[in-house]
Amino acid sequence: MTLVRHLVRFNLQSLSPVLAVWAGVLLLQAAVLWMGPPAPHADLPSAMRVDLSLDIATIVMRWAMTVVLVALLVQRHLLVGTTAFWRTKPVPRASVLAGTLLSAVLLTVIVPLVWFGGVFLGMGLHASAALHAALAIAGEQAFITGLTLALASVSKNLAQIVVLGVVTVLLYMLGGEATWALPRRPAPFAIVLHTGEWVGIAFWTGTGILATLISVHQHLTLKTARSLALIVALIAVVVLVKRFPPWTVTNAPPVGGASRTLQKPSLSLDLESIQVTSYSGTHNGAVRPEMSYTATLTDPTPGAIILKPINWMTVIQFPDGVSERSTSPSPSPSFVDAGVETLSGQPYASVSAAIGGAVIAEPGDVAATRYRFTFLKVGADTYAGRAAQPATLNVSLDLLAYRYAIIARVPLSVSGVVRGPRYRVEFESTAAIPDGVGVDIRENYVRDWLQAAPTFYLLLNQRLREAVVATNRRESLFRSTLLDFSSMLVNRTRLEVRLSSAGARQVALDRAWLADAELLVLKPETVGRVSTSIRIDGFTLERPAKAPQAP
Amino acid sequence: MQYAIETDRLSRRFGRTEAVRDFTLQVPAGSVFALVGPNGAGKTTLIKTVMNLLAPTSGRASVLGVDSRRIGPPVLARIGYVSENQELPEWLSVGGLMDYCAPFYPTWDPVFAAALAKQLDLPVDRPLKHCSQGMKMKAALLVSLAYRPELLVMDEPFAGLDALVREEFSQGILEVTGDRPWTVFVSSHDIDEVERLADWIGIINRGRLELAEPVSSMLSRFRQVEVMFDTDTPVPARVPASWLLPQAAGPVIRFVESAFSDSESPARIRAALPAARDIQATPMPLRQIFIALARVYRLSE
Repeated sequence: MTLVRHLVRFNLQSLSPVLAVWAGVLLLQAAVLWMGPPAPHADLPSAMRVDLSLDIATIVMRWAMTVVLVALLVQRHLLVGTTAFWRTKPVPRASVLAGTLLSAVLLTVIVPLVWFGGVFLGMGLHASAALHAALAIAGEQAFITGLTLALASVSKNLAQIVVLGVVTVLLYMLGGEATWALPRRPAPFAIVLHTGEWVGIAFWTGTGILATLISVHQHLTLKTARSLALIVALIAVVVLVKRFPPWTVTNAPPVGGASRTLQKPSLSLDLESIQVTSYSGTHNGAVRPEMSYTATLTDPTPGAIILKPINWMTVIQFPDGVSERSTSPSPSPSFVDAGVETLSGQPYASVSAAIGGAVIAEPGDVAATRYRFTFLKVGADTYAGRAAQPATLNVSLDLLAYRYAIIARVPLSVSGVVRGPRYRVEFESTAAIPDGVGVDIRENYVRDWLQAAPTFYLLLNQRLREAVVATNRRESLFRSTLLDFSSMLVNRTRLEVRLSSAGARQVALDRAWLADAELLVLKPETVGRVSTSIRIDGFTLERPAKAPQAP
Repeated sequence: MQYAIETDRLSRRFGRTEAVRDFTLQVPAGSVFALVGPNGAGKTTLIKTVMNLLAPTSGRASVLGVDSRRIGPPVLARIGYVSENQELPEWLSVGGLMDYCAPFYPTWDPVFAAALAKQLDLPVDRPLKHCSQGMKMKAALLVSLAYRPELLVMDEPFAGLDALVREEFSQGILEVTGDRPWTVFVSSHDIDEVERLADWIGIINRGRLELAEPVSSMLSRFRQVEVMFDTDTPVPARVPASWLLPQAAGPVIRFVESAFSDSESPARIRAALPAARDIQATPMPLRQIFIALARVYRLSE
């Protein structure tokens, strides 16, 4: 233990010039998050673009410095070749391993955890939220540290690590491409994340831990060729797990008793809206022409619960028994920062339920959300031969259910600050805008990587039991992590309510109304999952729009 | 006899190249053993194999009675190692290197270390990266001596050192050697570098051990012999195997006698060369012996 302590002290002392840079990088990222992005209405469009990339720049700097620190730590006691100084000294390999791991974890994981925990506390988050957000950074650091430990353990210098890193990324990408030829499971990884951020955290930190174990292997055996083989094996495992996740959406708990209608939601596919597109798609690695059918999914059932289709499978069966299957695509960018268009249901009804049934003046169309998606793809050959044949269409859907909840009530006053468990919102100012009012807020909060549904901002007049939806016209946002972790976000938003909008006209919105108003922030909470199917008989590929309406 | 290092038919192969071949060697405890051979002869590979930096392809080696594959911290605490190929922690100062190494050795003597630093004229506060090659080697020697090892292994420690530094380096070793019994195993491609230190010499050539014996034995059995005749005389077709590099130059035949004996060699020469008028046998310095042997090995390849 004394020897390990000596090695850790030696490691830290020998890195002192680099540690000053590391401290500077951590300080810089904290300062950037603390200051937050510029106000979104600032009239500096080109400068703002620079400002808005500052958070990413500081994250990249943190990653780069982590790589440098870990590389230097490992290569203080070189593990490849036969020229390392320590190899002829009476230093047990286990002690070198312990000294390096302790130094690396201390510098690149524990220090950022403690530092950012303190910074986030200082930024007004509750202790649990600050810890959560700091743990996200620590998790990201653990992943990079683990990966660098593995690469540095089989390299002689930083240049070799960079080359190995590039090769690793290329192998990862090539591996990902190669798996496209394999049969797919209809449960892409990003969807799995809806069942809980811990899956993502487990994935990345698990990868980091496995990479660290490769470094442990190299420390204890000094068998470089075998360690390199283990790195390749790890890449293969990561590629396969991402492609064929052991978790599926069905792991999410089913909705139980939240709403009777949810047990069998009366979803329908709007056949009037079907669009047929011909294009070249891929199937089992080969390019072939396809016909693609896109329609909207509607959920006419009002209620507190809204649904988000996350996974579907369509089977079209022809009278002679031949069938074709279409499955949901791989993760879609629309899952990130999802808007109402990705929902099926009545989000405003859900919001109204969350605020105790107050009247909500909605901007624009108040009808059920119509979720547009490609539900069927058939090969051009099938289309040519069976276009007129009436077939049976069966669309199976997995949906996640959400309910809106108020996470903050902010008085519209100069000192308006509200702290929730994972959320802090600060009212900054109101601004007169042509035909309405603008409200500038700053939010510090911990958000899951994938937020399933949009945040709603309402101006509520509690006395009149009336609310107006405020649109977030502009926002600028800083984040604390890049990987699929929860991230500490600092958001500056300009909310606007226009007196001439459709929504505002539904209530007597004027200065007096606003004087009694408060700002409500509502975010979706996951209730669970629900599965259902839609069956359509007599569906024809040729004239789908004229097929009978689903019951 | 106790041996500090023993190898038994030790071989180490890199792909198709056999760097060390059937190497059988005993380094007597208490000796200063110099392993000499041309560059690429396999000296470094042998030392790395003995020190467990490389695994042998076949055969075995032992150091201080421990199988080389089992050399771990307890044995390394009794061995000093200095090599031109060693990557010193150059971000440290000389003093920092001493501080780094001291906790590894229960027998580290800080007073002795300080005295060595002074004796080797090492600037304690200077970072190693700003030190000359000679200073770096002296720093490596310092941290290999300060715990008074039982065995000091040095691989080409003099390479790239100027004469003055080489002298200081050798002096440092000799002074420590004078203190107490220990074993020094040093490799070099240049016999001059180790001549002053060694009391045993081994010669390695193309991965094989060609010779290993005490320096005194070598000096006594090798002679440069000149045999004078009255007329031009060619080298006879058959000469004793102990005559190396025989050549005729007019009325003189010269060769290196590798088994010289004051009492027997003159008679043996006269028997082989009855027309000899005069025989002169001159003692050879180690350097000349080494060069003669190197020529013999080259001719036999």
